[in-house]
Amino acid sequence: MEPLRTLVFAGLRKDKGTFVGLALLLFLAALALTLTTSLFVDLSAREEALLDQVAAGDVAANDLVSNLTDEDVREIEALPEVEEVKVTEAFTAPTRVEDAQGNEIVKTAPPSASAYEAWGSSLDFNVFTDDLSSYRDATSGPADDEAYVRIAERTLHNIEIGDYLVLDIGGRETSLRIAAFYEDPQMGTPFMETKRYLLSPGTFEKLLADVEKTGSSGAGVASGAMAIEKEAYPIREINVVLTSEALSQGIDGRDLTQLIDDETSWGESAHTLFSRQTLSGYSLLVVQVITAVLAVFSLILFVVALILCLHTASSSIQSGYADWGVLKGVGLPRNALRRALIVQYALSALVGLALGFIAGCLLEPLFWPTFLLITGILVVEASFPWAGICCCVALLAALVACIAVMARKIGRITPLAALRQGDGDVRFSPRGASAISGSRLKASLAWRAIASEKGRYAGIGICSLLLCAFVALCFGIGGAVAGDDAVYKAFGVWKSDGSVRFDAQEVSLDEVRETIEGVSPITREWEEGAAVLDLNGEARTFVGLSDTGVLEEASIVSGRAPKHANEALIGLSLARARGLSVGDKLQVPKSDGEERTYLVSGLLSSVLNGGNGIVLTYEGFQELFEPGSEAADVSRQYQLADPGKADEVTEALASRFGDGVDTELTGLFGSSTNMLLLVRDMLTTIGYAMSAFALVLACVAVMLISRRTLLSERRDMGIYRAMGFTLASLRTSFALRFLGVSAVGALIGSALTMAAGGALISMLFGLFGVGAFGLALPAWEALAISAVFALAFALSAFGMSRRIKDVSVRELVVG
Amino acid sequence: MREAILTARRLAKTYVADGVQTHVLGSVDLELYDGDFTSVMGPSGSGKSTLLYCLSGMDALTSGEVVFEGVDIARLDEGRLSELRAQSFGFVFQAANLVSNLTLYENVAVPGYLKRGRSVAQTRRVVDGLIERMGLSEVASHLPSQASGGQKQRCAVARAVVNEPAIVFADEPTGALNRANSLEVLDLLSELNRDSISVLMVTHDVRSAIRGNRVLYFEDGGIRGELELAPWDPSFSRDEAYVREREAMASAWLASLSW
Repeated sequence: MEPLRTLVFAGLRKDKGTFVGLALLLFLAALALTLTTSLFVDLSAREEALLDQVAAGDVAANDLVSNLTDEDVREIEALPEVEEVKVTEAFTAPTRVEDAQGNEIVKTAPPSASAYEAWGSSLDFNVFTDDLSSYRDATSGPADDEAYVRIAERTLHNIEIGDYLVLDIGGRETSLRIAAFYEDPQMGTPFMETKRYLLSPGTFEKLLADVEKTGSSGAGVASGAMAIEKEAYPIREINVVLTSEALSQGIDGRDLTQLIDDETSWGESAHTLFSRQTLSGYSLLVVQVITAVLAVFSLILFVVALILCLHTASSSIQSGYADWGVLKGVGLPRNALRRALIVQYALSALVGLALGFIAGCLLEPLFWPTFLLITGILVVEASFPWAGICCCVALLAALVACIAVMARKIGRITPLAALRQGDGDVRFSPRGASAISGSRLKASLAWRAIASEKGRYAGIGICSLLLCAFVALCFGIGGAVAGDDAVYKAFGVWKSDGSVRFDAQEVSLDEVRETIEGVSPITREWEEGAAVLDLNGEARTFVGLSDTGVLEEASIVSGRAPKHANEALIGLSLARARGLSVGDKLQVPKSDGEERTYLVSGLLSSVLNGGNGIVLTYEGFQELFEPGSEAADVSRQYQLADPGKADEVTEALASRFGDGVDTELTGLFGSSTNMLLLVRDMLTTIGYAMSAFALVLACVAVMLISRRTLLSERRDMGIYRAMGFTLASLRTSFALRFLGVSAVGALIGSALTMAAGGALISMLFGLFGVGAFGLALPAWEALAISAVFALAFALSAFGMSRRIKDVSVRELVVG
Repeated sequence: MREAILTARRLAKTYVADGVQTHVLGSVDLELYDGDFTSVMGPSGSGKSTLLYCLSGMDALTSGEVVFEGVDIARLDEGRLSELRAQSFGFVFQAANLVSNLTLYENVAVPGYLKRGRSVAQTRRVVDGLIERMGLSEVASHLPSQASGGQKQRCAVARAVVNEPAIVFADEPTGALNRANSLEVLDLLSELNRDSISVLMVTHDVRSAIRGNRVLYFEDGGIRGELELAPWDPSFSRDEAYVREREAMASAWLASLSW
């Protein structure tokens, strides 16, 4: 044991710089992996715990009171798998948000995007303290004329406590002070369009009575469809709980939505039916994407650390040939020497991984507030980080295994090595290397060095490949979503610069058009309808377009836009879930029980309804939803020659027509803009930050590898200097090795990203429904990224090679 | 009157380690003459190798000057020193010190490509000639690890002279070789000297030292004696009587210096 201890500590002392660098890389890898896995596990567990805590049940739905009757509820309750149906009365109303001074913060949203409920009437939500760091101990709910809002409103619109919700009920406005943010595990994420507002029972009853007085049922568009109209109307929310017996049989919320759809009369026409799993998925959508990206980055870090390990071990064995030979000569068995080498690396890795793991655990709580803004839920307690421990142990095991394989070289060293002044029995083999011709001497020497140590330089090439591929991917994503228009295209959404809704009896279309064109010419305009309908147990968004040419701006991945009333363009997630492809038939149940059959004309890669959206021609849409004659149901979208004048157009319309024209962005545009911009900001921030980090990492890795390489080539460098090579020429030749290898690696990495990066990201973004994400990575940009990486590698090596000047020719005296 | 090719004046070298000063060379004055084969002998630790490295610009002086072609090389910057090593000086060490991933041919050729005013083709012709002369033709494409000790050292000698240097500095060039290989290397150095290359060789071995026409005895950081011999005649290299006669002269001289 003592010889092992002595050898291990002697080795660590000798190469302490390298071992510290190795520990640092593994520290970062363990930190990133522990952080991401812990966040994912804790957020997932918290989401499940909160759904249980608020007693959300397994399926949530809402509908017009006239649709979801007491009899419908009893029918659902009668299902043998159902334990309980909790019914919550609610209403919805056109709502805008103002600050305390009356300045508009959020423009009026359509009523279907809101659900007002009484505090305590259904689920038992947590309410955040004002600093959002924890929960209020006990709350009796909002006071009269106050409201609690979900935290996503702060994320999306920077709404503060003290701002006001302004409800329009029958033309009369009511202001409710926002008193707190609450935690909504069902609809708390910014990606959930419907906002739930909680009121005091007194205020709720009063406003509900006002709503009922207006007489609006909300069925203006079609029975069975959630209308996009301006009036307030009552709705009913249900939360359905599975029996424990059903749960034990493996039935979950997804099965229950199907059961309700198949076996209840209301289910056939239900339009907003969400399983617990779907809601949880929405909540953790971004977490999954971020976790995946960070996990990939952590693994790249580990690969770099592993390559550094192997490089160091290999060069250490080579440069210490005489020492190993002497140790064998004095009787130390080869297994003891191998163990000593393995233990050195294992100890160094263990320290780095352990510190990274601890740091990851300690840092995790700092990220909870950030993820609160994205998911709508607050993690309050970290679970035991089993996932992080498993990752770190796996990394350590992989590293030790690789070093153990590398350490087999020690077995080939004979004690005679000591007598040969360290010359090994098995030395470099320059097979395949071209002869050094004399022209381009520095490059020739660099190439010879690479050819002599293919394994080591291949490792450097792999580092370059991985890091460059990752950075190119980040830039490809960043390029695809950069700019407001690009982000729409990337996520498969056609763009509207404005929406107008008006009563044709009061305002003529020509007048509206004239007003708009007074500000900016209209390049395209179309009528658009949007509605939600239940399709086999899940709410699906249907969109009708009078000009399907607008879809050219979106991402149709196969087929084409619908041209006829019986054609439908469907989202990739829906197509995948139902096994549909172009030319197949899609059956859609209408509210009257009839089925309408659509021919799938194409597949759309789009965030529309998380990839489950369906786009029809406007005629097809009207056939499905049987629109009334009210002009208010018509939504016209337009694109401007100068999109920057959209606000000016809105002002001009308001100035001329007042309330006669509603200019709020509707449907897809009203709900997607903030989400897309949020996703874009997150992706670009994370991507570019990690790109910078990757570049720094590349430099650090190269410096560590260069240092080790120089140590092992110290004698050769001395010889070159004795021959008359200048320090500058040796440094240049040394840097050229790294330039060449990293340039090849970087170019392959960039090429791989260009070839397969889009498919890889599409798999990830498929969670959003964007199953065909196109990277925006022009060849010049890929080349530039490759060049930057190659230069970074070369400059780092060049910088580190200044150590060559420390090589004294006197060292050659004793060989 | 022989012409001095390298002149050292008041050359001193002091090492400082852990605050302790060690005076290795103390004010050495020395002239090396063009075409001479100068051997330096002396006990271990006397400063012989340090003298060689200071004279060749490999090691920095503490004080004094070393003049080569009218220039004090102790004041040259790194670039000029590299130039000097590439164009004017050649080195042979106790160990061959060949670059491990270059073949024997390349170990000779690579520094040869640094020669100013000589084309690549001309360099190759010179290298081909040297490889043949050193008896390395059959192993020219071998790596150092695949060559014997004698072959490696002969390769090192070829490398030292590939650029036709003015002076070859040799530090115990036969120290790691057996008798047969030692003779081969010494014969090569003698032949090169006959071709008017000046040689400064540090050695412990009297049989090696007598290859020189001038033998210096070095002790305690200074030159304590000098022996002039007739230039070595390569045609008598295998003549034992010739060798013994020179060896006897040198031994007697060394004995007079109490060595």
